[in-house]
Amino acid sequence: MKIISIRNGFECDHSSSNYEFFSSERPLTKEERKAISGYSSRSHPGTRKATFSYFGDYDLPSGAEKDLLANYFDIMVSESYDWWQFAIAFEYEKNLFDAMKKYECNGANDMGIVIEKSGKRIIVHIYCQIEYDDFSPNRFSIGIEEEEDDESDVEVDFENYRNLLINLKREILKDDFSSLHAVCSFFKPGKLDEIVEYTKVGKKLQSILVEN
Amino acid sequence: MHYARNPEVVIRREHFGGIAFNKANGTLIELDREACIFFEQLDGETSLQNIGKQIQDELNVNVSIPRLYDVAESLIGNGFICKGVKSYHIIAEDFPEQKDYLSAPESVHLAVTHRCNYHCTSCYVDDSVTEEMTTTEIKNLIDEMADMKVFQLAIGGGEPFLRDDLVDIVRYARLKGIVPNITTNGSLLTSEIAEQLSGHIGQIQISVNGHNRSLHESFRQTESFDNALIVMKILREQKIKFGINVLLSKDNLREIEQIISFAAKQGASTINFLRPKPSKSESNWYERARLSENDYKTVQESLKNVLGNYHIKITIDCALSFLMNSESPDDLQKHGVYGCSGARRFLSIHPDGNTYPCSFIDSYYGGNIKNGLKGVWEGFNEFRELQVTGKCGVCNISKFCAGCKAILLYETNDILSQKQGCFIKKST
Repeated sequence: MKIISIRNGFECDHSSSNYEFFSSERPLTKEERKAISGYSSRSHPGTRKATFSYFGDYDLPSGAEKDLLANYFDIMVSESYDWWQFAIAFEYEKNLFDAMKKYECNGANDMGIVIEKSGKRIIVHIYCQIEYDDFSPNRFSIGIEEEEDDESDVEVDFENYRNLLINLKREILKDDFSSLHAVCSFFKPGKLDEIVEYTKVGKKLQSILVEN
Repeated sequence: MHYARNPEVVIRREHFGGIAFNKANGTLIELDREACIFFEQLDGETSLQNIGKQIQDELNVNVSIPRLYDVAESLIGNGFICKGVKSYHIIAEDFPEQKDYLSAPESVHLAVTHRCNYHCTSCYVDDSVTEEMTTTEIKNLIDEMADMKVFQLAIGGGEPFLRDDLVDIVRYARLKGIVPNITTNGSLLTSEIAEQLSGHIGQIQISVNGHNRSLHESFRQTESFDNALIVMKILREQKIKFGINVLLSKDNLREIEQIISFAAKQGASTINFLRPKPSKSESNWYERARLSENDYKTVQESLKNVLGNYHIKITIDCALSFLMNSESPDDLQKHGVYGCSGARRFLSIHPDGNTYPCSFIDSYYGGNIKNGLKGVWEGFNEFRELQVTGKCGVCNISKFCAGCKAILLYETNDILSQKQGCFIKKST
């Protein structure tokens, strides 16, 4: 059973889909950058970052997003038609995975948190809509220098969101799940009964999320 | 929550399975028999388990539920399936018997007139045809198209807006569930007419050959560039989708990126590059304008370099299919590239109702449309049986190109020849 062919028609979609993948833990090797280039001729990966930008009906090949997070990057920010996805990846540890699972939630329009195991990694996805402009520049500095060799034409500036996610990841690795609590409570109020004091990261995440 | 066909999608059974056309965005998919039955049954109420049983009953094939989900998700991604809605129920007919052509055209190309207010040297139209079908005759044709589940009516000319019943024809086609599109020079399309077309027309194609006046008018009517700018503004204001048809020539082949950029800035949805074909207006024009193998390499390179850089869909006419030679046959198949589509995917009708495989070939006649679309469509077998031979015949993308027979006829008087400007190095 199969779709034999798809010929796209006269609709021109002036929207775009933008992805930024970032490696916060280590620079990528030359071989890895070459492998990443193979996912799309539109990307020119740097030592830390790869961006992909697509217009209209085009998008990352199926499965590429998960592969890139499972093998090369630990942070992803993507935006498509004003729907956003944040993702962070960790080395798999059963205790960590089990501890985070309770923050999974599915709110309106499939917005929420999904936690999955992919290869040897755990990937946390946050699907959301956000108040895009509600960010002071460079509020979440992370102390990682990135070179300016990325020639992508991504129009959207993802730096603040990326830095926010790096800080989220650092919190989680210290067994602080309060920011996941903040997001989960936003999408599913009352799901988690304990009262938690949120960090700067958790408060920021809550403040940029938008209800649909 | 069950899946449902997008109510804007129509589906027609073919011997291999089915063709589904999304009237909202013009996307067309081909499905094998299992996928066709699956898609037909998606009414928003029937469960996947029950659809699996229907496939089993009709084809004696067992399809797993995960596979049904996979196909459903692909179709959602292409706007063919929605969740949370209900769709109409389809009473399916039997699959048609095996043929090497479709049971009906995807689209009918109807020249409603050969009259024109412009006198472009590049025009291919035979203006000796002065008889024109009446409004009633055209509506009868549209009725037949609806019966045969033809998806689109491509209205052209001459200049179609010279007919005062054009809005009526467009609205009638839409009423019958057929997407009407018009190709025009744009000079007669006023705001008032655009308003009447809005909501009924699929897309309007404007002929523009360059991003500036001198380039555009090098083989077009004087003042036609300004007129094109005016009509594009009108269409933007009326929120009517429009595209630009660019006739390639020696003059504009090195300006492809600038033309694409211009079209995108004008708000065009698509830009369609056309291969120069022999002109009936001026015999020397084609000799001057036709492109060499190296020119086509330049075109191919330019298109590759700009692909994805602009917010516009870039297409080429079927006579340029060889430019896609870097794609694998599998990819060409997946993207629905069919090469020469005359009498295979579409049919050309002159203003007097005479039918031909395409607008550029008048040596293969299919009869007059007033005698019935079905008979005409089935009567092109001699043309369909032509297979390119020689080096083209063994080319690995022959099935997806098949050569432009209009150009072969003009250049060699041999429809099966291989001398047509293609730059692909052949193996024999």
